[in-house]
Amino acid sequence: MPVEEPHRVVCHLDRLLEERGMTLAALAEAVGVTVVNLSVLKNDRAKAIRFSTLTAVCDVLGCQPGDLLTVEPPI
Amino acid sequence: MSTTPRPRKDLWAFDRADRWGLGLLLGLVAAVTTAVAVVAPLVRWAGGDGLPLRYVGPLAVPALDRAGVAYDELGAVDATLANPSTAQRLLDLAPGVLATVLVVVGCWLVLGVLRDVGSGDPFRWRNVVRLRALALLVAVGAPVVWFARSSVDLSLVTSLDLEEGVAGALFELPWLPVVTGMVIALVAEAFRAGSRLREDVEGLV
Repeated sequence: MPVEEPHRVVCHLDRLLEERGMTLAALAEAVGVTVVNLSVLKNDRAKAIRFSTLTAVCDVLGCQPGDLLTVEPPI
Repeated sequence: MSTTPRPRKDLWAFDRADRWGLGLLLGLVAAVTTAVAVVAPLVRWAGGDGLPLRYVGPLAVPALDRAGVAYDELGAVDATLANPSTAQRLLDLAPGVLATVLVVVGCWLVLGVLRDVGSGDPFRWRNVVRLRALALLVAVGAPVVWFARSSVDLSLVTSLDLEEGVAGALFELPWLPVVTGMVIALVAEAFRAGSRLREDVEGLV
């Protein structure tokens, strides 16, 4: 089946950050990516995420990929 | 004493000089096409000169037929229509105008792609559209111009009322532009894949 856009992946980075009392800038610093890139991820504008970025974000936030990203059911 | 080795120049690289050269060449092609296909006929019209005709196609020569002389049925007619009507002038002008429009638009499309290649960002959707339009222009537009030219030439030559008759039109599909257009469409498809990759990289975190 061909991959059609748009995707239905939703990022829960803002909730995870709020639960941990962490800022986006602090996470960016800890993970080693730019705030702009994390902002893209947080606002669901990212089209793909590197496994290395995902691993680093999950390590810092102490979560699993499923806590960070979920797929919404089709409308 | 040590010297820093100079970076070797890649002769295959399509650099700034090549882009300028191609840009100038395209401009020249558009200018010459306009001059030959539109301006020259208009100047002849304004000066009241005759209409030069060139027709290549099947010919029938009754005098030779009667004498039993064999001849090549495919021949060329070079003539001048001394006092063409306005309708004949316009008819003669039409394929040239069409060809000029196609050439100018084609050059403009190539220049657009050239600009994006020069800026180091060629894999954009607009270039896919440009290349697809160019493919259509070459594969369909060129044969249409060829058929229009042949039909107009045949129509004008038959109006000469020659004793040796023009047997009919020589209609052959011009394969070269069709194949070239298909190749450009293939390149457009490669650009489409490139533009998708570019979009993916843009949204990669």
